[in-house]
Amino acid sequence: MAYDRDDCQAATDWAPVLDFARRLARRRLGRADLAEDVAQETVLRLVEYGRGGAVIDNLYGLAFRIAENLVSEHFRRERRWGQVELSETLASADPAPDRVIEGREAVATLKQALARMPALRRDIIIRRRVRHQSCAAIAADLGLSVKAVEKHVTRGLLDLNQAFDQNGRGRGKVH
Amino acid sequence: MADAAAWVDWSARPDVSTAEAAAFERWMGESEAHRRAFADLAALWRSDALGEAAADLATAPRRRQRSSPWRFALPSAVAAACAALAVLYTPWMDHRTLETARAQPRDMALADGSTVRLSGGARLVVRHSPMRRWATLERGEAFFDVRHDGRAFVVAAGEGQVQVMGTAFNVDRLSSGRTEVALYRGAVRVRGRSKETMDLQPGDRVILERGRLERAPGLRVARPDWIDGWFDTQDASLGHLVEEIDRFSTKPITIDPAARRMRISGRFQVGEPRSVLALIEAAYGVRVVEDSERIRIERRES
Repeated sequence: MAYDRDDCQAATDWAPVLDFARRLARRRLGRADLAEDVAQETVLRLVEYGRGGAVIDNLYGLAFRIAENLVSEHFRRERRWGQVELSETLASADPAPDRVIEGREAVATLKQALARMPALRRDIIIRRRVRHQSCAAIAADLGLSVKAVEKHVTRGLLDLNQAFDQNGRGRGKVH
Repeated sequence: MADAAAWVDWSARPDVSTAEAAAFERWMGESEAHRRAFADLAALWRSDALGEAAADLATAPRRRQRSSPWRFALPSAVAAACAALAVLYTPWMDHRTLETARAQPRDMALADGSTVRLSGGARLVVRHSPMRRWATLERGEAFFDVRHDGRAFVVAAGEGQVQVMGTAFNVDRLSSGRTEVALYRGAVRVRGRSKETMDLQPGDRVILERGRLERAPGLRVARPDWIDGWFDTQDASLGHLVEEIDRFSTKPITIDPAARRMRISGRFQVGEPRSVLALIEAAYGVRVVEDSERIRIERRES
């Protein structure tokens, strides 16, 4: 075959992948040190994977899956060892986590945002996130077009993100 | 940001085309802003916090109505009407075959509100009638979370059957004819070929082999390991481990009879078949041979 694997390897710039994995992990875990570990481990596994002879043509897709797995693995380990609740571990380990998504306060914020949504959008988000229904199945159930369902999901996700960011700024205040 | 949200939704789909995957790579490669927006929204979408918030709202609409009667009165009336219609029509009948491609585990919702998580390379035939709910696991592994609705729910696998009353349990059907059943919540009764039965408590595990039932060491976790891509064992055959990674692999993985019976123990990240292959090659003295079609594991000649 014509391609030279070593050339492909050398051409990979890992900095953006590291940054991506770090950002993702930081948002879930809330701790810079843990997020750094996840990011490093993600890239390490990608490098090893490439060394095994595979040509990586879906770099970000793979990085995403690996980083996600590492984050879940972290939470699983914490639960397995019966540690204190997530929100508390995170809060005590890092007094000012920037917009950590896990934890009790986050659940409350997201519940509020869901409750404020139009009922149809909320229903679609719940079906997609909790019941793992496909957009096509939701469209069939609710008599909508697939495009319309997809639009509700993306709009809903943006609503949730906005609520989350706003709450993040006034962190600690319970109005 | 809207693009990022659309990509997050896309990434949660089980069936993505290579053209779409390539478009995603291009989009991510374009700018740091794209990558960060995707990271933020994906983290939010996958977070347990959102899962919990959404699940709470899904199961407790009435409680919410009290706290804010005006806003919720109409939607929940509509929801109640829909639910009534749904009970009258849809959930009673559900006839279909659910199948997953290799390396593509999937969550599926049944019409009665129960959910099934199928491993890659699995096939489940569902037959729900007004009187009973029946499912046959023809191959692969399935984690059931069954909604209690007064009808029996029976899962047949190999020569055995599991009868359920609203519960969460796992059935692993191996090609050797062996089937493992593990109960995570509720109660089930497992029946072998000779009408012999065994009632399981949460945490119990039973193995069906040649029509007979045998108790196995219990469970320590709240859901099966394979869902998170792990396989944890004190004593299993190498053949069993290979079957577990095969379900996560895009290329079929086979093992020679000579190597199949070797005993193994430990914790394996079966969600990443390549790393497990490297590990067993190093640890168990076998050789991994790969061609364009498949991956074969053979005993190393001495």
